[in-house]
Amino acid sequence: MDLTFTSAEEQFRLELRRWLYEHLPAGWGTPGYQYPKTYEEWVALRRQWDRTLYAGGYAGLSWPKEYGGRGATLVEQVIYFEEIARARAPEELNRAAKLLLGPTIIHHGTEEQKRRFLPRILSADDQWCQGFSEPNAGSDIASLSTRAVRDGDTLVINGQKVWTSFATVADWIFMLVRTDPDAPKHKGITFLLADMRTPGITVRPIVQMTGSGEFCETFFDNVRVPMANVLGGLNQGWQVTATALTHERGTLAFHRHAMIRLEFDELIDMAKRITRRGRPVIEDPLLRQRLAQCHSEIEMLRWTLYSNLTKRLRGEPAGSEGSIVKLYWSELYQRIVELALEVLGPASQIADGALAEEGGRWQHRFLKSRGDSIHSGANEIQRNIIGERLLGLPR
Amino acid sequence: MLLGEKHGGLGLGFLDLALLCEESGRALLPAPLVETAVVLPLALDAGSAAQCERWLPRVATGDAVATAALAGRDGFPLPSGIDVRARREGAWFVLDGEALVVPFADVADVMLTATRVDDGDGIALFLVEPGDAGVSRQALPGLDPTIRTAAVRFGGVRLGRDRVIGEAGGGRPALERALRAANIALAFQAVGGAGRALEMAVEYAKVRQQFGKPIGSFQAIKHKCADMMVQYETRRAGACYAAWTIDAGAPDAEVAAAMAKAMCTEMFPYVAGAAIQVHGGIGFTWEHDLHFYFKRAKYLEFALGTPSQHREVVAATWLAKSSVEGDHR
Repeated sequence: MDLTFTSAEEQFRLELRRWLYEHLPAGWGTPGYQYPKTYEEWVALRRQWDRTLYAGGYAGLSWPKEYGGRGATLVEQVIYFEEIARARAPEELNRAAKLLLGPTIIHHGTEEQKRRFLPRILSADDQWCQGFSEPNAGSDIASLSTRAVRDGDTLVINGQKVWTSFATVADWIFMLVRTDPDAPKHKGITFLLADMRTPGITVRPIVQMTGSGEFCETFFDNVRVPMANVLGGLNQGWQVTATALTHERGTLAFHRHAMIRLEFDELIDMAKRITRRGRPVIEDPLLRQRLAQCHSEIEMLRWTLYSNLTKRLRGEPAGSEGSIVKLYWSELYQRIVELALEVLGPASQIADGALAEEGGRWQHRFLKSRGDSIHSGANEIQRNIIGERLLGLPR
Repeated sequence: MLLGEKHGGLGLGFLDLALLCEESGRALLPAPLVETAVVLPLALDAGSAAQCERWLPRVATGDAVATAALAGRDGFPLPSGIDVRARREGAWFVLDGEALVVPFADVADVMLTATRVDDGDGIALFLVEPGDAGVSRQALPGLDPTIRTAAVRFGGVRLGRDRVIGEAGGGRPALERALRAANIALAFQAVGGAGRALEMAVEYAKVRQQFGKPIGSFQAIKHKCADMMVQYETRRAGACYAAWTIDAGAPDAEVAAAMAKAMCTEMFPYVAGAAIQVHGGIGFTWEHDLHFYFKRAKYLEFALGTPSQHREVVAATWLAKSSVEGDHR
């Protein structure tokens, strides 16, 4: 385990830190900052932020230079995620396209697809959404039933996708469709790119348990997509997806760690400020123990990440250890935000308005955290992966 | 391994020693390895040439076994868990008091003993030998039958200046250094034991059949094993980091050691207990080895203080630190 950065890496960090300071709105990330109130304003702000990142050369950090990326090293990617968390920079609206779709097009796409799609992902000219899940295909994604039937040079899509985040503002969707209903379920799936303006696509927003959010359901009614938009070959969608998903849980976990650390430090500040029976909560022996436990666990997460990173730098391929990390941080984070509400005490019941502590951000985090053990492979699926692929237990 | 070559050691780093401790934990080594290979050599960093010459070569060859009598009923030596007093009487020191759960006191050739000096808070570390008049050892029937422990009583034990490590009253830095490393070493023993218990659970889940299938194919078992692995892997990473802070001289070494001790030694009983559950009835028998792991896990959990006491070290750092928000640029 090597835990020191080279001077070039430190230089990259300092440049990025300065760049973030210069390009984020003045006062961003400080306690009094007035953030957007509505969903639409947030979307506009995040889309603009994607453009700013692109202009600064920070979009497509991990992509090879020949495709407009920065060709950054793994360590530089880690530094990037640590620094944008530290600056509390807005989350990229096009993150799924940059992390999942782009690398998949680079790996499986035709030259024409690369020329057409890759630059516009980075520049945020095309906003993408992801169409994998369906009402009857969540964890068992291979059982999806949205059909695409070939008609000459086009595929005709009928069916429904769900949890298509940001579909209301997306220009394109990357999706999985069933093209061979007679093949075994993993072998009849195709990875397809569809223009959201195609006639027959209807999007309906879904309100999340936080009361807001980006969820949508997307309906396809005889939607005609050119065969040229198939990525990686007809009925090859499952293998193509596997490439996409290995890109999902790599360096991104460093961002989660940095965010969790940041929020936990805020929690410690709050526990010093909020009192019970005239004493700061931080002096309560029981809560102190639980806080120290969470602090220690965040450190364990951090060193697990660095240990995995060291293995990858030594040339070992990224394996299923991403499942350990995802399972661990999502459940740890849930414990932390639950503890935050206990620190708040009666104030935990005031989620908004003048009497809300810290603008109600802990209540929002508390609710939002429930999604973390579900998205990107529910934690039960992660436990199956750990049990079967890492421990070798039978299926 | 930590000893320099002039004393017959290998001059290796702490991380190397930590891995050895991990293996000793896997094997449930019934010996005071941490006391002999970590605590005594680190404490003797502050010792005289004559003290080093007397003990270190014999420790390196394995001819001398050491133990450490560091805490009384509180269990956690610093800041207030030392129950032995050393009073100055002319050129002599007279030791009175008790240390509890001292491992392998019955076979130790030397016992590193932490004392409070006179009526103050100053600390002196003594090299006590079993033949010293006034030392008595009472064997304690242990929860872990593979670690023989004793209550060691000091009743007017008269020792000369040559038995004090460094200056009497100024022993705290040496003790802190030794404790930090010892906590990490114990954490690695817990990691090693947990790793073996997890392996045993997984091996058994692959071969034991019920309802016509290996029990490891049931998610109730599979997910339990996955949870064990998550705890094991994350704690092991934390222990590796803590060991790295010793070699690197990192400023957060004390907190990292406290976290590693608390986290790893709480993880081991959880993993060992879950491994027994995966085994079912056979895991509950004396015949099966798992109970030794479970018992060792509880020994390691409380050695040199409980997890709560170690977590308090972590919590104490917050009160010293100022607010974080807004300083992120």
